[in-house]
Amino acid sequence: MMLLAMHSPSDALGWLLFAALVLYAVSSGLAMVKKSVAAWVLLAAGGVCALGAWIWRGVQTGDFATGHAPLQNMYEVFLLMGWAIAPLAALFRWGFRIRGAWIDALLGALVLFPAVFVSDPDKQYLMPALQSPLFIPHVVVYLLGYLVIIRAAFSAGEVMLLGPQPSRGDGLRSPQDSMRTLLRLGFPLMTLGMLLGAVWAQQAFGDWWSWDPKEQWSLTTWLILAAAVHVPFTPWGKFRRLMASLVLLAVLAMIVTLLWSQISNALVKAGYLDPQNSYHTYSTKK
Amino acid sequence: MKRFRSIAMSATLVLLLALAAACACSAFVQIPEAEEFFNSPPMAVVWSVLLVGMLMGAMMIRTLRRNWPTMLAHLGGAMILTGALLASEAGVKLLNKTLCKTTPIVRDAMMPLVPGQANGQLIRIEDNGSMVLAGTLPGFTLRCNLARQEFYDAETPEGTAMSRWDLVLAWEADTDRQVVLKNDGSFSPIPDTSWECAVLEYIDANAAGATLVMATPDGHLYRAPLGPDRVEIGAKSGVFAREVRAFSRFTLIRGPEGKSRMAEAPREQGTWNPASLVELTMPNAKPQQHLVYNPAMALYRAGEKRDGAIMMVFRPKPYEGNRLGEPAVQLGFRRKGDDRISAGWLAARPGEDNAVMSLSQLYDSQADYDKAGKPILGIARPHQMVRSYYADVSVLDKDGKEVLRHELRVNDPLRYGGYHFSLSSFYNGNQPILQVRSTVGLDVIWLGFGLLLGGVFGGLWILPLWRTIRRKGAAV
Repeated sequence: MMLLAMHSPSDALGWLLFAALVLYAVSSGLAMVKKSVAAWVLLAAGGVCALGAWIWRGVQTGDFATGHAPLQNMYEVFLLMGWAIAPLAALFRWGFRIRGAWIDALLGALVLFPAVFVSDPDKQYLMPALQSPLFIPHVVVYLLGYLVIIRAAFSAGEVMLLGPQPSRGDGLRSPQDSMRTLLRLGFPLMTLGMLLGAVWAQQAFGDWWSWDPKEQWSLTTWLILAAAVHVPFTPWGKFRRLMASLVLLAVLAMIVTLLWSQISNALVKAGYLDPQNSYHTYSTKK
Repeated sequence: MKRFRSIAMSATLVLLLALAAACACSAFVQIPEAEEFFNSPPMAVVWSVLLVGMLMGAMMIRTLRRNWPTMLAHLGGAMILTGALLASEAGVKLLNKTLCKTTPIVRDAMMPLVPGQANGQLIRIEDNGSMVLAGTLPGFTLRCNLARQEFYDAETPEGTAMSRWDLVLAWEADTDRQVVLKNDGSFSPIPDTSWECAVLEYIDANAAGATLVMATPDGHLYRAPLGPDRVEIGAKSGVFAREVRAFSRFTLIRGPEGKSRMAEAPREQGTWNPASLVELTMPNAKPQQHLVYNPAMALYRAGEKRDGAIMMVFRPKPYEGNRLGEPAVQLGFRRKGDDRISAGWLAARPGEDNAVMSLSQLYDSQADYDKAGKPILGIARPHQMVRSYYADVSVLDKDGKEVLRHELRVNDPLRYGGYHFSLSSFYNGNQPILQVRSTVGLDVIWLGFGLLLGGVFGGLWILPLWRTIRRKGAAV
């Protein structure tokens, strides 16, 4: 498999990332079988490895020396997310009293996967419109929002399957409470990410909204989340499964947003869709 | 009141989800269709209902102290919608009929700039591709002082010099196989053959005039600059040539009696088809005219006799200033151990990124050539990516006095006089094209963005955090 060829397994960066990926994956497995302490130790170790990789990258590219953070392209953004997931997991668990560190560990492994196997670590040429100071904030805020909302979706899935659960008396939140807390945490991030994109579009193209398919999908996601935020104030506020189903729907829309260029390509190939000119196809094909 | 509240909230949920469904559906159509749909009169009604709903949402708060974020967020949303409605096509139409009768607003237009010239005319491309005047800038013009584009790896900003093009050997029978040959003037072997080849010379895109290359039947190869005046091709050859006419979009027009006549097709209709009408005078003969198509490729084996003369015209810099030029390259071929050099010429069509020639001439028979996998030789423009576009512009007032100077860049637009000028692309290498958009409603939208963010972060982050801190403080 071409996909599973590591780019530079011989250097420290590659090995650190690989180690972090394995540690996260094992941590997730341990947390699932309730080996809580061991899981947290491995998660922390994975976070340290990923942080080391990110710092190594910054030293390698000379970004730190020139006073920049290594956040110049998607590869480096994934590296950042790779280590940020560990403190985020701790924040969810002890800050917000939300169960499910195995999800964080799994998400950490998923985020690092493209950095280890797929994404191109070379400094990429950015097309002019992408060379904006808003590029990194837009992407980072959205990725953080995605992580939180995906986390909310796991709680929502639990609510959908089992219905509202009483708190287990261990000081942690019930699934429906976790879902609502995570939604309230993630919704502002999704809003900020979208508006940063709009400001950037105004700078680059002179138009803050251009009805681009990917924009439309992100607005769809936002509107569903906005609906979910409004649910407690409607007469159906007591039906926990309504908010849960909206959160799950929003995650579905989110996944479509992320994968839209692949989905639309497949639809175009199958003859169901005419080719679209999207601002969001960052093709740097040779 | 309670009943009204619950009906309003239910309606809110339904409206949000219906809008979400509409947005999702709009991703499956083309962008202009989606834009048209969301700007249609029925949608204007929906947006207005949403606007009223948000204003109601802003007012349905119990206490300002606890619910200020709810108010901020809904006011923000209402402002964004108000700004968007004002800036919409219908909104601008309405403004132009009422408040802005004297200086109508142009909502969305383009403005091509030519370095050194001032321009105040806004144009629009119609659906059929024709350009129309959309309006003029109100009381000022923009002068382009300087425009340039930067490439990621280029040393020369104006396109790529030919010496940087790749010389590539490929095989028609095996499309996956490719060899990049050296193009530094030295000979490199052509795999599986006894031949080797080298780039002897580039006729660069920056060369001034046209070049005529001619192979005579007796195996001589001549070359000379081609112009309107007669020049001798090769020293003491007695062969003279001049260019009678050059064409960019050569075409044949049928006359009334069925006779064809050579002509230049109109710019809007014709496709690129550069050609030259060359007058050739052989020794002791009358001048004869020959039509020569410009892009060409040919390979002459040294000493090979031909049935007739072959002519090529290379015009590196065509007349209409295309960015890429029509570079040509002279290739030399020789057999190992044989000093005689056979010549090859290869030219890229204007705007094209490569040109290829068959190497069948190097083989003794077609069967040998087929057996070798049909090798072809090509020149290819190395991949180049634009790093950025720059346009240094001045805002001039009515008297032509400079009011403001700004270097436009992608992501660094200029806002002046109710318009937003952003640079997104270039035309002909050095002519920037500006997107010009009216800024009607923009400040309302920005303010709405701020309020919405203040509202959601305030209500979902700051207030809960504040409450938690206070509760903890009370517990202590």
